[in-house]
Amino acid sequence: MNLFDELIILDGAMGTELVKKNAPMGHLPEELNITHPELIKEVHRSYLEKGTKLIYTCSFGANAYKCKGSKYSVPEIITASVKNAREAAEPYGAMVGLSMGTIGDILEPFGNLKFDDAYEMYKEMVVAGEKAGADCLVFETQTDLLEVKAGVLAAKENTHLPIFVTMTFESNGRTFNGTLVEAMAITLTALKVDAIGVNCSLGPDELLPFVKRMREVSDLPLIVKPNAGLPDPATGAYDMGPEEFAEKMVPFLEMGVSMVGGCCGTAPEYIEALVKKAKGFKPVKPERNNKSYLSSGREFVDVTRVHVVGERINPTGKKLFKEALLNHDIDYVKARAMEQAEAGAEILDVNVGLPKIDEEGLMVEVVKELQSVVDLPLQIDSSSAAVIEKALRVYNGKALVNSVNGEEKVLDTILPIAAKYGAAVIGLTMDSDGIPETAEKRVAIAGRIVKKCAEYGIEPKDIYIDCLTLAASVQQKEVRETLNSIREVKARYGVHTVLGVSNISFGLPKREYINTTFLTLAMEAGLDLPIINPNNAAMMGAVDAYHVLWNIDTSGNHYVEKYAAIQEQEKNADKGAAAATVSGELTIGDYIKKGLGDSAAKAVRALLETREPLDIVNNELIPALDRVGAEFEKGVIFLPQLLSSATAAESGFNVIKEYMAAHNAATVSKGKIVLATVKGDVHDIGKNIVKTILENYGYTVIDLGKDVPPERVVEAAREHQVKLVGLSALMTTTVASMEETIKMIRDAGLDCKVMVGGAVLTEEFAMQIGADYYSKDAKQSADIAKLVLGA
Amino acid sequence: MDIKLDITDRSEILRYLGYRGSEITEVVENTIQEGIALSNKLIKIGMTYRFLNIIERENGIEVEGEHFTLTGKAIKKHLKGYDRAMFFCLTIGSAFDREVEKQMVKNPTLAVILNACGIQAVEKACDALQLKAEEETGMKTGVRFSPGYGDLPLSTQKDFIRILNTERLAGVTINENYLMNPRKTVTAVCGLKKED
Repeated sequence: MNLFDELIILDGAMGTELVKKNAPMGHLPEELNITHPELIKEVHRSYLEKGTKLIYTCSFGANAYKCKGSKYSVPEIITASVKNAREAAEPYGAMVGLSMGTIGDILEPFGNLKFDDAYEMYKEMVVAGEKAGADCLVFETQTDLLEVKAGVLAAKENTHLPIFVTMTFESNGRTFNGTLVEAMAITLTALKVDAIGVNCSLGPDELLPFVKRMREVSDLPLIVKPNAGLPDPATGAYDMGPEEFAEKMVPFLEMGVSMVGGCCGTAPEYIEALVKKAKGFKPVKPERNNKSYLSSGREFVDVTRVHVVGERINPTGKKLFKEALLNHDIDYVKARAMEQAEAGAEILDVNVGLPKIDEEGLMVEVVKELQSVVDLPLQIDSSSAAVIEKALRVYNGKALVNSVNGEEKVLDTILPIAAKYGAAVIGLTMDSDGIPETAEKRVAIAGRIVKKCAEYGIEPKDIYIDCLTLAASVQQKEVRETLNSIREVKARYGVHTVLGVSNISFGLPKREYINTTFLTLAMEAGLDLPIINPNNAAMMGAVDAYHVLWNIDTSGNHYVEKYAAIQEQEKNADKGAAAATVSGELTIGDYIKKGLGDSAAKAVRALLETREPLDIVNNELIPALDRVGAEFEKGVIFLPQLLSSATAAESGFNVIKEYMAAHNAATVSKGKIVLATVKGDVHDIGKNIVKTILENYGYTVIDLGKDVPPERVVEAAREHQVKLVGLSALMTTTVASMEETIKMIRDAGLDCKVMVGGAVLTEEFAMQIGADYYSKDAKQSADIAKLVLGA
Repeated sequence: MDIKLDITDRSEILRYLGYRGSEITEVVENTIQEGIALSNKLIKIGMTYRFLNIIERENGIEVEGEHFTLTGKAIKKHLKGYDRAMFFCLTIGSAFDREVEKQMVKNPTLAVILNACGIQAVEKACDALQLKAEEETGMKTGVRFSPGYGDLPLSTQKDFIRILNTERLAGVTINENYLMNPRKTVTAVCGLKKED
């Protein structure tokens, strides 16, 4: 099927036509394929008669989630739907597309649908569809790009059929769940589906700009299936008639889209009018554009200037980061990600490799969690092909893989994976003989990488060559070789470049001078993606200044806006500091009570000059929290105030942690506690509040997150040998899984206490389901921890 | 129909947060203002509603033509004397959930304040929707009633989601435990009758 050959006319709405024919619309209209096949075929024929060349089967909701409770299996319904469509289409020589809507549940971490389960559900559908004789697979009315990815992978790995994807956008250019038009187009183009587009939610006028934006970033054939204008929410009626609808479709035809049809509110007359208008139009194959795109599900980067890659999600040389990974503290990782995003990073490198850690499992979890809080594209950094593949599977966008090098074996292992998932790759200019000294040799390795990439269908624009930084203190004369290689690989191969910068100053004093200067030289040589610490103001300043001086930041708008504000802030901070000194005499306890984190941290830093860290924790931080906690208990202060004090204490506590890590002392922890929101429950604000308080009392919290299966709680309690487990449930429906979890902890014979909390629980009920303690609020959970683990 | 919301009712937000009249620190006060401003930016109302005929039955209230009966004594009592009702689903959108999730890591104080703003917003928006519906129909709406209230099973949520086509029209889905997504979402029914 060459989708640029002929314009293909699609059908219009199915549901409303069935209602018109008085079909019994029960819980699952797809069952009509089996109970009333003639009705379905009639609707198909009504479109075919008007000129539809590709009809969609009536199988929109025929997935395992929505079919639960049906007396027919998913394959039965799918098979019947294809059979009906085939029989109707045959006399007209038309094709049949298997329609698949959303599963109907939300993927983790916001919902409890697992990626692998979504994959299996789509697999069941596409396999049945291919077997029954569908010509192509159509994912339509989709709202979550990650769910689409599960479907597309299921289709690619289990069938040979062409794959079409249309998503449903709101007036802001995002789907209900936030997927951005460009992010969708970039990701699916990289995944090499056969056509993409839009359907439902809006009328042709509103969808036109989105389809144009898709065309900007993708050269795939486009599909347009709008509603008949906008609906009246009360009556459900749409505001466009057939002629007007067809007229409004003309701009799409002029653009050269490949497939047009209608969605909600469109009937056979609409398609008839559209067929008339479409006469003489042909799809237009677009020119290829030479930009490299990277994307998350929500934002994208087109690499046309310097973009900073944040390097902070990496345990190498970072004691607290290592500890966080070992304690499964995903929030710590998330916080590092948000911090870098705020500091101006545009891509985040993600490395969670540590000896004796389940890197695959952890990487998958971190990728899933990161994409729930940051919008930036990710750079998947691992030396293991298996880890990279697992991460790319669940990554909601087009990622950058870090990395391959000139070794044949590495190239042949990693490149097929990058190609399959449509990722861009970083290629290091080194091989089994190490890093060559001369630019010429490094360029030669880059050449081998580019050639291999071509064999796997990875274009030069999606290759990011890293010419490697060596320490100037050791290999001073090679610094120039790195810069020359950057220039040369770009000129010779048309690739992009990436570079870890700060190695350059290793072993030298005042590293920042060397780093910023080297960064500036590298950018001038053509560096696209510096991998740096975005929290370093001087380095970010160098990038921003470079954009001004090269007339990339036009009129210096970005620079002026950013640095005028910073300058102002600095002035005010000086004034504030002066005022604080004048008022003087405030203790750590006062700062904590007032929720002043920075001041509390400063005070702790000052105390560390004269006192032991543990002394400060036990005699300053904890008593201050106790006082606030007592006030909360008495109802003097309310929850936001308790939390604000706890986070201020946390700032102080972090200073202690950093101090101890820097002085190689054992970590400060009063003991470990496992916390989880039980299976089935995805509301975890209560558990998170408890976590904040417990951490600031000095306990290490192993946070298992929400919707946690009982086995996982048992496993974590055993692995970390905890004496206390805290469980939270918000809904009456999920208290049963709380009870089950407690039972499983008891059955496993673990020597640990269980405290429970949550809106629907009472003391009595907590005892009934076998808990040791009922915690009515966060403060009480700290009291219980003290009781069980000691103060 | 379009609902514009402005979440500025500080005292309502404080009520949701369990405020009992103590002095509020400057940090918390600033965070409340930040929460209000952020909420006004994040809220994106999605909604769908239908006016349907209802019939009183032995076991509850039947919704005409929808293969669906609201069961229990409570709903029978609640809709007594009505033969028409408005069914609706209203959400403040998924961007709001994402921000709460984010702030729970970054600034938990702001997260709980946002959460309270969200609760207030969705309630206010429901009030506004009922008012609009009254203007539109020239009829009076009764007090709203949701799945899980009284003896109306929470599982009824599934039928609300289905008959209102919420997934397509408002972006609202439901999981196996009848939790809705986005989290700040209300489904409800209220009686509809001519003004006496």
